[in-house]
Amino acid sequence: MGQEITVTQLRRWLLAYAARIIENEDHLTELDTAIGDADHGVNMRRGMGKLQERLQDEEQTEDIGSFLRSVAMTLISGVGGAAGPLYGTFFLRAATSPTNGSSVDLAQLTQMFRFGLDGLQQRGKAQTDDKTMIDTIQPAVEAMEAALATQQSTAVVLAAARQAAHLGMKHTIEIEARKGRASYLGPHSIGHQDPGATSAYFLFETAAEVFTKTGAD
Amino acid sequence: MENQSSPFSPFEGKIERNEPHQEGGNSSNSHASPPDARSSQLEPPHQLSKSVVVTVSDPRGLHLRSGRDVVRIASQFQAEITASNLSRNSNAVDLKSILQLLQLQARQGHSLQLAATGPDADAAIEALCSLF
Amino acid sequence: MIGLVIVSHSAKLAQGVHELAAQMAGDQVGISDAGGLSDDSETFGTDAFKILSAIEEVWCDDGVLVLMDLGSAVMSAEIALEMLPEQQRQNCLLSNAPLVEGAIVAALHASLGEPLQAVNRVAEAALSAPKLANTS
Repeated sequence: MGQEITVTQLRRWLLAYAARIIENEDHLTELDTAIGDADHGVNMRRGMGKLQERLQDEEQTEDIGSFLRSVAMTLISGVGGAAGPLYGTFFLRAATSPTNGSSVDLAQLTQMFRFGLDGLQQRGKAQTDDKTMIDTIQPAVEAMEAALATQQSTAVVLAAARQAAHLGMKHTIEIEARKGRASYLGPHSIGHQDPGATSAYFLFETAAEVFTKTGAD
Repeated sequence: MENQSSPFSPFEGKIERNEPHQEGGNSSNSHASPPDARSSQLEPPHQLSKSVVVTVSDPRGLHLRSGRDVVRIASQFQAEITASNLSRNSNAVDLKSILQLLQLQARQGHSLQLAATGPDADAAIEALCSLF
Repeated sequence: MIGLVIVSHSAKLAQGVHELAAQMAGDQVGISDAGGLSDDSETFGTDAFKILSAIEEVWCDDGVLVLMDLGSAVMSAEIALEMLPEQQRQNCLLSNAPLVEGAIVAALHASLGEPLQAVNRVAEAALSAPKLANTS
């Protein structure tokens, strides 16, 4: 407990996320070819390229809220498809959660994800089991909240989030899509992992990796 | 719309003047009349129906832009104004709606029956005739 | 007189619908378009910031009606709306109307000086207006 996460770490997290998405572009394309319009990989890769540029040459803001807002704006303008407004909304709402200005503690980090999730649900009008990114993000946020309630360390909280996100992502294979283009396929969408749930999983995978390595700063 | 200024020119019109079709036929029941906005608006003494048949003269038929002008003119009047395409045996459509007007699929030479009902029906028909 | 914003995934489509709407509206109605992504209008997509500046471009106190093509255009337009100051947001409406028919109808009725809600009503009625001649 007690570890504060700064803008520098958030920046490192999102750079790791961007790199992970770019590595997985083909995988995302493949998933989206099965049940969508095959553009999730391309859209996310384009957005992540813009995000890398933004994170690398940005005037180093120290304020968490402004940092998250600038991430949101980059994703809204840079991603396209449905993912742009959705990820954009996630970070736009996350930017409105309480912080200590230039850092967040673990509880605030958890709340930041909760704000993002709530915004996402309002925007996309999806629930769990609709076979969307909500199926990854909601269980992850709930796992963070549960772990936090029992006074766990950052490493444990984020490991719980990652594990729940992973299960949620895999669960999308078993269910029928009720939102987005995949819902046109009805029962034929069963058996395929949702591309949005997959790109959202990487948020938690990279968060667990980056926020847990503290000494490296 | 080249000939907007000459109200009677390019249509071959027979103008029929109808007496008001007012259900009930008298005004004695004005207190008992149902809360129907239309019937309370249309005071019997001012209630006029008028219709005319015009021929579409524009070589391109009644298209988006000429249709726009028809809707603009029609919208200036209180009267309800409809049109049907006699050459296509179509139903009557609301002339204050551009999409309904386009449903007439009116080509050059088609006969359209314009009908107006309301206090300013006369003026409405006269103004509209100038557009065909 | 209200303003109109045309939103499409395609910049060319948005511009084309804008031109068509302008034919119906004459010069009096402010119309702007927001198609494609911000710094790359060749890429299909919608961009909340592009929509936001299109709304600001035609802003007037009578209000602004936003017409969209489909899918994520709606989400982007919602984000744009949320970014407007409260006062403006209340006078800005996302229309359920189909893009092409809706823009034509809205432009014409806006040019007749009709208020925001009324213009939206006739534009949305285009959802159920058949295209083919209604002969009997």
